[in-house]
Amino acid sequence: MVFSQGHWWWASLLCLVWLGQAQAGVAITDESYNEDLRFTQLPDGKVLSEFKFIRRIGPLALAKVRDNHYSLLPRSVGEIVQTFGVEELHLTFTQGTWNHQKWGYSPLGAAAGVQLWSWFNTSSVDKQWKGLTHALAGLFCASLNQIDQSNTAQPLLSFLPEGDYGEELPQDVLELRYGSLPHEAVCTENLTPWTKLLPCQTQAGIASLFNAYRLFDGHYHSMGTHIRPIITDDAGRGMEFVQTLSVVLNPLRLDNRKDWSLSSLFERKIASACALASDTKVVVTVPSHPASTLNSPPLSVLTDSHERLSAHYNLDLSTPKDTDFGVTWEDSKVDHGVNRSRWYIDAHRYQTGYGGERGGLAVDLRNHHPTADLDIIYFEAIPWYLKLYLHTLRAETAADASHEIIKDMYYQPAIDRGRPAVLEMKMTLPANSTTTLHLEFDKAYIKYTEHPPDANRGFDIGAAVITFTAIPESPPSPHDIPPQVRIHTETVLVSLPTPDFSMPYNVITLTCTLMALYFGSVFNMLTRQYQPVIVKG
Amino acid sequence: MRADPFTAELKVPAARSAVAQSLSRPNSEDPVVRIPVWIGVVLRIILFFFTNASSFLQLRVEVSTPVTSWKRLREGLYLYQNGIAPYEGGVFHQAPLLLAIFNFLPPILIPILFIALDYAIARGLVEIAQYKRKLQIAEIWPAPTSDDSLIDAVPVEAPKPEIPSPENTPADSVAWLRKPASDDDVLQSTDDIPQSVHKRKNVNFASQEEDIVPPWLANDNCRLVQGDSAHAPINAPQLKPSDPTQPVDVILHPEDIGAMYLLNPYSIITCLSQSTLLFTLIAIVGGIQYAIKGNRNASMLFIAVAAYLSFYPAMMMAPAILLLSTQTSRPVMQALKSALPLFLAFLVALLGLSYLLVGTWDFLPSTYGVILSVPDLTPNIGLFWYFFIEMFEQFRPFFLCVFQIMVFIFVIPIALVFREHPLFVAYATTAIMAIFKSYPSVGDTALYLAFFTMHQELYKYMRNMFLVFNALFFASILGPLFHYLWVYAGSGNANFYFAITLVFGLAQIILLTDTGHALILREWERLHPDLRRKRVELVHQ
Amino acid sequence: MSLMFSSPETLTRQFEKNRRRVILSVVAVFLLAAPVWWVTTEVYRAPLPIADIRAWTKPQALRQKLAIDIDLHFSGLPEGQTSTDIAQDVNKQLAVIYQSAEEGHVHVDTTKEQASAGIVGEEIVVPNPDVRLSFNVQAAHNATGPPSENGRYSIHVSCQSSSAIPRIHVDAGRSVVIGLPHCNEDVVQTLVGTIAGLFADEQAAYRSILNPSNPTVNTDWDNMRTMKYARKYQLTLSLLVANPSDMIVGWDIKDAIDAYIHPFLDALNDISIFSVHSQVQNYATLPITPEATNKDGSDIHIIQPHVLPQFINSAQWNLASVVTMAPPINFILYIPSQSQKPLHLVKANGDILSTNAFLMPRWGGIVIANPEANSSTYHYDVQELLPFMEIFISQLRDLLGVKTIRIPNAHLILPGVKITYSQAPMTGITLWEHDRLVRWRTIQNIADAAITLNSLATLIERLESMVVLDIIQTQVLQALGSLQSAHTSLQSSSNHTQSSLHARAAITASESAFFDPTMVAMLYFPDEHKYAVYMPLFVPISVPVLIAVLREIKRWKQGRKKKEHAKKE
Repeated sequence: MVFSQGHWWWASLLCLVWLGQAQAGVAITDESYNEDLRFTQLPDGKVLSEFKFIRRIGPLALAKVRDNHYSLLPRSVGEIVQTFGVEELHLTFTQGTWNHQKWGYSPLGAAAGVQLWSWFNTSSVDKQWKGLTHALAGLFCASLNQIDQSNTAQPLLSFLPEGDYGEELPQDVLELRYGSLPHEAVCTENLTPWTKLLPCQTQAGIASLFNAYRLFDGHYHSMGTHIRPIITDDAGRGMEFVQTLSVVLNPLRLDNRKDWSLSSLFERKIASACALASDTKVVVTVPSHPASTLNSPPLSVLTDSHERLSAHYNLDLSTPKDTDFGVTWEDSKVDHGVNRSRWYIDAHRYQTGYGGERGGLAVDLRNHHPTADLDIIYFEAIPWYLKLYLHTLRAETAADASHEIIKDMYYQPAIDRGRPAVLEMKMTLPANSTTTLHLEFDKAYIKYTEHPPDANRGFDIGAAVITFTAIPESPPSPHDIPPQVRIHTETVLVSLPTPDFSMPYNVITLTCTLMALYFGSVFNMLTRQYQPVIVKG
Repeated sequence: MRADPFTAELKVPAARSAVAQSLSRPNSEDPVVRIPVWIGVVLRIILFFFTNASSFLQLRVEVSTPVTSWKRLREGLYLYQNGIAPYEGGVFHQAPLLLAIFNFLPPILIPILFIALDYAIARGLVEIAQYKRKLQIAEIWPAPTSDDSLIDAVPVEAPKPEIPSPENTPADSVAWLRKPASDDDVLQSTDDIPQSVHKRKNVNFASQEEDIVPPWLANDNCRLVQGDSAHAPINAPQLKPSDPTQPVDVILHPEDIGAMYLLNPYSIITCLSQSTLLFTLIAIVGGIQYAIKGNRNASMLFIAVAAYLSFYPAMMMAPAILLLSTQTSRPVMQALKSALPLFLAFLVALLGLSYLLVGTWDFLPSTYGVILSVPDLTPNIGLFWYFFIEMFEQFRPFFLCVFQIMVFIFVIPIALVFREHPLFVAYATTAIMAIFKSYPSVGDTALYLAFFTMHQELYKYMRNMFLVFNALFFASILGPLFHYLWVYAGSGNANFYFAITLVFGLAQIILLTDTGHALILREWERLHPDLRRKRVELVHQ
Repeated sequence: MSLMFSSPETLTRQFEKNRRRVILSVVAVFLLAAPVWWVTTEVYRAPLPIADIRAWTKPQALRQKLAIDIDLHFSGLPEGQTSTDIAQDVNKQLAVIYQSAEEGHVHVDTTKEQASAGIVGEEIVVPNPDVRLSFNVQAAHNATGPPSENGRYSIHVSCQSSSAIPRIHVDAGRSVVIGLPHCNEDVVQTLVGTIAGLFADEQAAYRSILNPSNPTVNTDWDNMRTMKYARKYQLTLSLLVANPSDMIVGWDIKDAIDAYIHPFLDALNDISIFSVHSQVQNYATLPITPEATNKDGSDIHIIQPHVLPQFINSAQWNLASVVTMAPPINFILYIPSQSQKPLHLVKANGDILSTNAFLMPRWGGIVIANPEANSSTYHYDVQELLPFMEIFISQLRDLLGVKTIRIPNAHLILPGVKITYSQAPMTGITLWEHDRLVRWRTIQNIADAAITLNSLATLIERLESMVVLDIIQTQVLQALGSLQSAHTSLQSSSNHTQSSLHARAAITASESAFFDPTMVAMLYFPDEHKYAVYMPLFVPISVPVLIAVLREIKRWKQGRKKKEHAKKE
């Protein structure tokens, strides 16, 4: 020990100055954390589990974060937000496609693969965006660094800021970047770093249900990280950091019954409530018919407008360790039909044409509403190696063509190896009709080094995003779904014509030989002379 | 164009029969049935309006390249009309003024416009051909001074070459002193056997008309020989054969050139595909045409337009200036000095106009930049695309430079060597363009084949015509086939189509050099009157 | 048509003229295209002063004096002795000690001073061929305050000390106070001993820096725990709570850091700058299970020294930063779970470590705390954090290479002298320590920069196809420049702050050159492949041109010969 108490005495004197504030610091803690878990049994018997880990960082804590003192907010996240001037960030890792025709709209529905969009509050946004993607790539062990200028878009209408910014108009000061990696395969190595960001990791709270084997065994699996500014009180602006995980599991696969419980779905039970969570909600929502019994008695049960029971539970440290939520059904008949009563709009995208030279994209946009015309925003970012022909864009609808469908269009042509083609349209879908968009493209012939190792597999074209405002009575539970609903189409796999990867040298040699032949013969022709030789007959 | 070899072979005897009849009916042309120009126009109209050939051909790689494709033009037009900068994106690479043209053109007129363009090209070619015909007639073959005295004068060096047996037969050795056709034999006696056999036909043919030879020898020809070209009578064909040692050429019929261009399948599909290349072609043809007329401004304007549309035609300056200098009878350098500033002025004016049209200079990298740096590797009949798909990244810029230099390297030398034959220079430059430009299409081939057809007098000096035209023919058939196998059926890979483009290029290169050699040979023969009578071998050294 | 009647000779002449023009134009194009080839395919390599770089790796390049000025202040000096004489004697003897070091052995002479010097030498002097401290002791008459620059120190000798035994007090500033009952001849001895002793360790440390071939044990141990030098360090204080369900723990770390850590860091900010982060992590489980034992009546859990290396659970604890490249220094306050409390570290001999802390060389420090669980939450306020901060500071001193100034073997050098050292002020580092650290880092940085530049040079020489951009060149030149200026300013002036700045610039520039991303992105394309790419086109093209040119030259010569013949005849 170097320091004698003697001199530390002085030090402690000085410390007394700090004590006041220190004690104050104890008193005010404006950080809160709560967990929220919803099980919804879908009409077709599948069980949708939505995990939400919500952290609210108040102005004071945020101020501490600004000079790098982190308590509830993970340090890595805080650093990223500060270093790259991120105001709002939405990152989702998704496997499978959300079947919105059968399952309705989900706020957690995302495009397959990796989808990242972020609002920046900084200059030199492109540099920061690059840094952000690289940092996130390192944080989540994903190949996010492949999001570069050539697949980054700036939508105008589809991805509005979701945080509350007070009175200032965010679009004026903020800048948006959107990128997606449809080909990215999501797996455990992305989940593990994601769970390490949780306050209780996977050791307590609802996260203790995470069982990678089961999670990735589902029909749909989406893992989200969302950061947005909030205004807690007039003390100033805070920050909300939400981690979401939604997974659709199928109890019928095990034994052909709809019955499910935590242990049957995850082979786990909730160990205990997370000590740091101020409250932990669990809601089980099931159709009220046919009759069903809940495994554990809820605090309250209420029926919503769409004859669905939702049972509410609260977890805390006193909850017995082996609580196992679940539902047992009288009978196990399921309804595979498509429910149109609440979810009016759905979209389906597919590729047209054949051959390696050119093709087309077609999107079926359906509006099932019997009477109302619905406004949507269609967004598509298509990589440069599909050369779009905008003049071939046409919208066909079965409904009367009296009013045009495409109200407004924003198109940014692609630059080769530079940026994608971005197409964004305000459309009005006539009531109870199907509108089909057609768009033709040429497939570019790219250098043989630009092909991926599995060249003949082809290229994934990211999902198109359809944004619209849900009709007031339509969402299943209003406080869940933000006014803006987003549904994503399928990703399309496009195969480009491939050169022969084995023979660069042959090509070089052959072509050069031809050139040389031309040069040699013409040069001789020009520099040599015909000379007579007389032959005596 | 595939017909050409045969017509070429046919016309030689035709010529001789014409000569035969010219005794009885002085002002008659050779009675070969000839197709009028309008047939080609009718054909186009039919194909345009009664078949969907156009919409099919618009997408063919052989016809529509990234820099001429009609579909891309429409895209550019669409963007332009909707206020999106057309040159920002990576799709549209064509000159801005084209936008201006099609911006106001009602769609129904578009096919008409393209047919009209093609017809105009044909007419221009016909005019050029008329000039060529004049040259042909006025062409003067100095007569040999006298026969035997010179033989000893000429040094005899070479070892006695082995001569195909027929020439050694006494009958022939008697014959060839008088027969014009036979000196072909001598000139080409180094050829392989099939050629000389094929020549024997001419000999026999010629020998059939021996009875009509005496009257020609009767009339004296020295006045014509001394007389300069200016006073050469227009209906010279009757007089020409008066020098028995000069080859008898058919005097080309200008209408044929137009017809052959319009009936050339290459030009037909180019027109049907509505490729904007036609604008370049007509500019080139116009440039030559007005150069022939001696109208410097017009010809420079046209060539400037051509260069503005697709860059490479700048090299058409060479033939144009040669023509201007011969027509205005001024030295070449002087003509160049007077013409070059004009050309540049027009070019700058056109670029400025385009700038005014689109309001930005973005179109420069997006048109000429693309032509020079070849970022779009869509297959075509040229040599660039596959080479640069496979080329290693760090050599890419270097080989781009090399290939572009190769296009231009021989323009000036050719202009130097063939100074006396501006039309041939035009033929050579158009051919080089068609073979080596970065985004060639069969339309370019069609143009220089038209120029090729004007040089019929060279056919009988050419050696590989058969090979060349077969290669072109089969390449034209197999190209689409292999492209289909690669891109659609997936049963063949890119190398198939690449190989075909190589064959196509090879054939054209051979054609070019062969024609050049033919011209040199003929010139030699023309300018060495006294050796024409001898049995001479030529060595190229 | 002018050629119509021209004779074969004129034709040939005409042709020859054309041919010459054609060949000329083609050759001209070739010549014009050559630069294109050069520009488009050359691997850009900015020239580097390889020779200068190599020069720095020679042993004598770094051989230098380290000037130290010492002002002597006497009070009450008896008659017959002038402070200047004393100063000269001191200088002499110091010179003897430290010069003799150059040859690596010590003269032992019979005269008193020499003998004692000899003892001194044997005891403390470390032969050092490279960096030699050279002292310039001079008498200062006007009493000034403590010297303000690194490398200048003052010694106050008072000859009428009240106490019976001589005292030496090394105070926190740059001065030493020597109290002697009466000043006889051995005042010189005392001075020599003091000065030599105070700088002995430093002198020793330099040997191992510049020739690592013969490191002594202690310096080796020091180097092992000391962090490699960096301009910027990332300091992370983590509160790891094993199980928040027992007890949620918080701390006022921000205030604690401001109070205790920052003063220390500010004192060092002319060497490195530090960005301090803090974080709290819950459910931080140990990868090792402590042994439960019973020590004098109470159940405790202990961790043996040999398992400490596995203490860090790097798989679970998020200690790394995702954005900064600065080398991290971690400090961990670990709160074990209720089931493992109280948790203690034990020495090898089994008794409990009082500090309950240990240091991970070149990584950081860990402290284990066992707060009493009387409620479900526990909050460390600034006061409670104080002991941990003390530990962290002392660990930080070790990690950064701060050495306590002591006179080794004092009982031999200065027998019967009472030596006291005044403690560091609340900055946690005395000026003596600070100066020494600065000098040591300076020497070290110079050496490291030289080594880095050297390896960079070798790398670039090895890989011909490696791109060397101008940035690299400029950085290397900067590094060399600041190396030179550091080297000169070290031995010229006694103000070593300047030279430390130069040395810092040198190491920063050299490292940024060495780790420049463009150096990694090198395109390697073997030569035979290059030939395979070039030959198909350029061999067949160049052959006919060459032949034509040669022929042309031959003809030209023949033509000249003929002309001469013609003249002759």
